[in-house]
Amino acid sequence: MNKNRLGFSRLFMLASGALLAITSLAKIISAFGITGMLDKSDPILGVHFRTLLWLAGALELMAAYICFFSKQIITQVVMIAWLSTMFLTYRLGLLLIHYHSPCPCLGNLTDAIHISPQTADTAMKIGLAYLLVGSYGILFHQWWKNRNVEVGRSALGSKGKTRPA
Amino acid sequence: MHFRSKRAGTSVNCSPRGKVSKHSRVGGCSGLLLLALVLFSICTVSNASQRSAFMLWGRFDDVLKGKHQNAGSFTVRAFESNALVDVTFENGFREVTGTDGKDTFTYYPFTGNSNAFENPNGRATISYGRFPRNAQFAPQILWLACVHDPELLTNLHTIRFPFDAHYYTNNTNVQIIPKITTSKAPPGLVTSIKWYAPGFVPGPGTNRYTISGYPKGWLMAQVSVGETNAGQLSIPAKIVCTEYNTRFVTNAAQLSQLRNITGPDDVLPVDIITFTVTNAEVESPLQSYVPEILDKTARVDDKRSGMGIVHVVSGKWWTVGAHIAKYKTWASRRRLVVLALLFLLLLFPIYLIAKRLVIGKTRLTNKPHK
Repeated sequence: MNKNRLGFSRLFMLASGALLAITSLAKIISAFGITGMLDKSDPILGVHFRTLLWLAGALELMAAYICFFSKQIITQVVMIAWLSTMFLTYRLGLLLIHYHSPCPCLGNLTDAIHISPQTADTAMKIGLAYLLVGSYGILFHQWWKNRNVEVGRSALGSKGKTRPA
Repeated sequence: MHFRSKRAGTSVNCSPRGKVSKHSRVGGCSGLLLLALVLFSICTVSNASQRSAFMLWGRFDDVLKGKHQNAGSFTVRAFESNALVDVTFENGFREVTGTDGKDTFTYYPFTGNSNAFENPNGRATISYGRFPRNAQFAPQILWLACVHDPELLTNLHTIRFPFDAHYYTNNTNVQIIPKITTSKAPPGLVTSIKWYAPGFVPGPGTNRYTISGYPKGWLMAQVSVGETNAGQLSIPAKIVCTEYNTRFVTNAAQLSQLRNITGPDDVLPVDIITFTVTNAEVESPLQSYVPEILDKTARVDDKRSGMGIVHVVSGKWWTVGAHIAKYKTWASRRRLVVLALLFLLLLFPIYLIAKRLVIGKTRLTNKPHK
């Protein structure tokens, strides 16, 4: 049972790593483009979209590296949860300021591979939901397991204390 | 060095003298392949946008029932789904329409006698959607012929044109059906659009009056684009937009013609607008396809709500007065909240590392007493 859970976590990590690697490469490749959009300012951070693509691409690449090569599952999950929370906050920020354009998550690459920005945006939203639900689900599961272990230990401890000598 | 292959259970030697093992050779090759793929993608992406932007100059002539109706000149700058269309009619009226990739920005500069007016000013409108639904027919046709916008073509049946007359309705059975063909050569522009009306005239309520001779519908309008090559692009050289009418009976001789109608395409041309491209060139994509407002006093009617400022071609701004100022103050507060949240989130790993260090330290220092 426990093996299966670990297997699921590992599988999630590998899939997340692959997803992050693809999106990070897409961002970095897009940052080389010459489309006018890249020289516009991001409505939240105020930096150029090109800079933002570089930064987000680098972060995602780092996260993908951790997903593939780190041996500690908790480090991987925390990294994904942190990154996806950041992306969620950014997207919520866009909604808050009524910025309705598609998020330029894949930059100019959508033009090169003939995907409409709306489709790419929807795909990225699904990806983000996957990362969020998966990472927080695993974290919650870990917390729940640890809590049960703690409760078990304390119960055993209290039993030990009450047992007559 | 000595590696043991898990799968085969055999050992492979990798001598320090430079002899490379099979595994490392394969790894190296795949690494190089990946690097080559990334470099190729970078080149494709950076060239993709360079290739597909172009500019056209030309004249157009509108002939209604064999008589001159209207004429003028035009300039089109297009890149993928964005375009900036500048049309000047023979009476001096000028319309410049463009997009920020999401909404339409149409500007009508003041072209009258400025001395005759106290406050001469141009007009501008910002409205939802990339396609200029509120623009004149001529810029709309140029737009359709010059952009590569699959989304626009998918939603073409929802766009109303002057020739639609009484056919456009929410009832899908009475809608005009556009049939589109596109070029296979990049940037994949439209080569022909045919709008077919149903074989009846909708009347009051649910009444329908069948059109004799056209039970399967009839060709209402057509845009056909003659292409030419500019660099690697296949771009419009001549655009002909024809509006048709059904054959009708005014005398006994025409009655026999009515019986011989061969199909929906057997119709009579009424209005023909011919756009002739006199000059074309491939260019780098513009920073923005929003037209520049030339007069400072232009009135801007923003039909959207809560929207901000947009860049224009020259790098200047379209300001929408008090509405924009209000939006800026409103948005800046929310932006600050989001920025603060993002900053806190950025600090989270530092907090985790610090916590780990502190716990590690206490674990090391708080050794149990012997």
